[in-house]
Amino acid sequence: MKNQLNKNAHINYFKSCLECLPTFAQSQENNRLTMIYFCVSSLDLLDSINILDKESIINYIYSLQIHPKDPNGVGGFRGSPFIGIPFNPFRTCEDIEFPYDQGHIAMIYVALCLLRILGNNYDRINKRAILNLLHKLQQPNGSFCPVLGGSESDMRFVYCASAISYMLSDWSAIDINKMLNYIKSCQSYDGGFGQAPGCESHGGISYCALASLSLSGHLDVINNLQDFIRWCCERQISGFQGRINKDADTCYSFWIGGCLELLNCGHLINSSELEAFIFICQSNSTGGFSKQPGFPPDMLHSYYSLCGLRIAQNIEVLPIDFNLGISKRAVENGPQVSKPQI
Amino acid sequence: MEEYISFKDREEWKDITPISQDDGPQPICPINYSTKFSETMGYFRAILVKQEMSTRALDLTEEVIDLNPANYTVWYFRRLLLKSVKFTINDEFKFCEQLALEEPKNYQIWYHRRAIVELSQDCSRELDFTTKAIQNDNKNYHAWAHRQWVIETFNLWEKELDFLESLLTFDIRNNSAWNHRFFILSRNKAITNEIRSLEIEYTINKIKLCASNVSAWNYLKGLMNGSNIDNYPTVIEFCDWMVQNHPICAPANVFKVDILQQKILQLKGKGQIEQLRELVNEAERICNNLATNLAVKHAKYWYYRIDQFQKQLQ
Repeated sequence: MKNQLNKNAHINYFKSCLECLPTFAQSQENNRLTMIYFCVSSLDLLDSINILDKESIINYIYSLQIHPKDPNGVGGFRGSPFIGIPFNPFRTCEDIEFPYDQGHIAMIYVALCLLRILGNNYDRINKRAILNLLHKLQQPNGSFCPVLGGSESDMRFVYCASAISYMLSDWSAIDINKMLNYIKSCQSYDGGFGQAPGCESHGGISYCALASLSLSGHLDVINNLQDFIRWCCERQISGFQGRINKDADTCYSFWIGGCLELLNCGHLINSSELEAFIFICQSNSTGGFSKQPGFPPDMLHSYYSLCGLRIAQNIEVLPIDFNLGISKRAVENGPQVSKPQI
Repeated sequence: MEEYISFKDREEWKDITPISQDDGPQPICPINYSTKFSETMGYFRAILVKQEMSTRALDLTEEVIDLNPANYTVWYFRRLLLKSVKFTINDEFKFCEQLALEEPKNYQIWYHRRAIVELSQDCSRELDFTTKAIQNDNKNYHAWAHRQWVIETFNLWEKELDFLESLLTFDIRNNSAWNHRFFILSRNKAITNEIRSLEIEYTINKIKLCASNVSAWNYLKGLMNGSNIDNYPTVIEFCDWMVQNHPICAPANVFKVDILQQKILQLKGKGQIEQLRELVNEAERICNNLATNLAVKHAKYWYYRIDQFQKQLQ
């Protein structure tokens, strides 16, 4: 099956992941919702979302939402029920005390994406509680932590904060100017973006930076956009490498390819080389895609490989909204999104 | 390796009723947990609800971390325990180091390391520690980021250039090392003209050793950011020399295009149409060569650059 999308194998791959993950996936327990997102969004991009029991997944997602007793309290979504909460998709208030239970910014992002993809109109979303959490997660330097309980802060969570505000159509919880200053300060001398000021330019981080600027309507903030565009284009060595002088890895097809798409420069990508690289990483026996040839497939690289194929002009994958990394139809058919009002 | 004893057989845990996880009637992406994992987590959940600050709780966090070092809640709880329970800071540093070297890409471990450095205000181990991690993986992003944080927070700028030299001798293409050099250069104090000149000389010598090394060319470009290239004739001369004597060196030609772009910008609006046209033609010629011969994979990008140069003539 050279250079052809093995669609059925991939559908089976994601379906079986949704049904059960092996023991070594224990290290992913805390971000299980992210795994669910990779699987469901992949099936959506393969136009096969209807094989799923959408209602039960929607209920599972809502069971992970935190509902503070206090209307000014913080909410959000958990990555999984690992803290011990009883399952209840219709909970509206936390009835039992779980002191270290907390929402995680990346889980809110994937939850909002998932609900949209599955056709839910956010009817059970506690928007105020999510925004209260976002507000508290922003740091004095403009970046964001993922949780209140002590954690690193970096560009990944800046992106989550932007995407959440966009999907909820409400930017009131974050200080946009501080966020923009932080993003600016992370641009490296070579044009790409690093995790923190002074850090090496990196594909995943560059996507998070650029998409945050795009979502908030501030692409003008980039110092020397031309340097950034060239940095992105030059990362294509067959597939895309994530940093200068490193090997190509399928996930950067989305992280860096997506940056170019957001800048209307997707046509500058060498589609045939990109597609060829991704297909070398296709696992025909199990379905899914790996990061590089010779590695086993995993959900993250499978998802971003599918996105990469769309970027490489493969029309067997549905059109993608590059701001959010999900299908265009999930964005268009779902609750209203918006950039900040000037 | 100690043999695992089930919690229900441990005398010191008899008073605790474990709390099981409730995944609901139709769990999504359920994980096939090992018995050890389910049991340990069950006791951990119970201790969290109790908010128990004790030595046994501290030991328990170690067991949970061993099973799942990405669990950010257990790390947070451990840090709270370190504030209320007796422990030896050196042991904590050793524990963290061992884990970081085993799981070098784990964000939580590296954050914990930073947290205990902040807590103890003791940075004495950090350069050696990050050196070890970087020796294991010369491009470990967390190790470099942590090293930069330590240097900036505790003013440890001195020995870095020697450290970098050994890394670049081993692999002149190590972009993390080049980035770190730029960090050392630019974050401590402003780049003076004298420093810039010395760095230009350094970089040119490195490029001569490996002409195709994009990291070194980017570094050279970075040095020129925000300054007028006419003040650095050595750079222009070197680039021209490279393009003449190493015509298939793509980065040299790319750099030449950048120089021409700068010169074109300087000439804009000054009415010297002929001179402008000459520069644009030269730039287009090089872009065309890149697109068709030297950087064929990026052909579309170089045709885009030609378009952009054309627009500058209008």
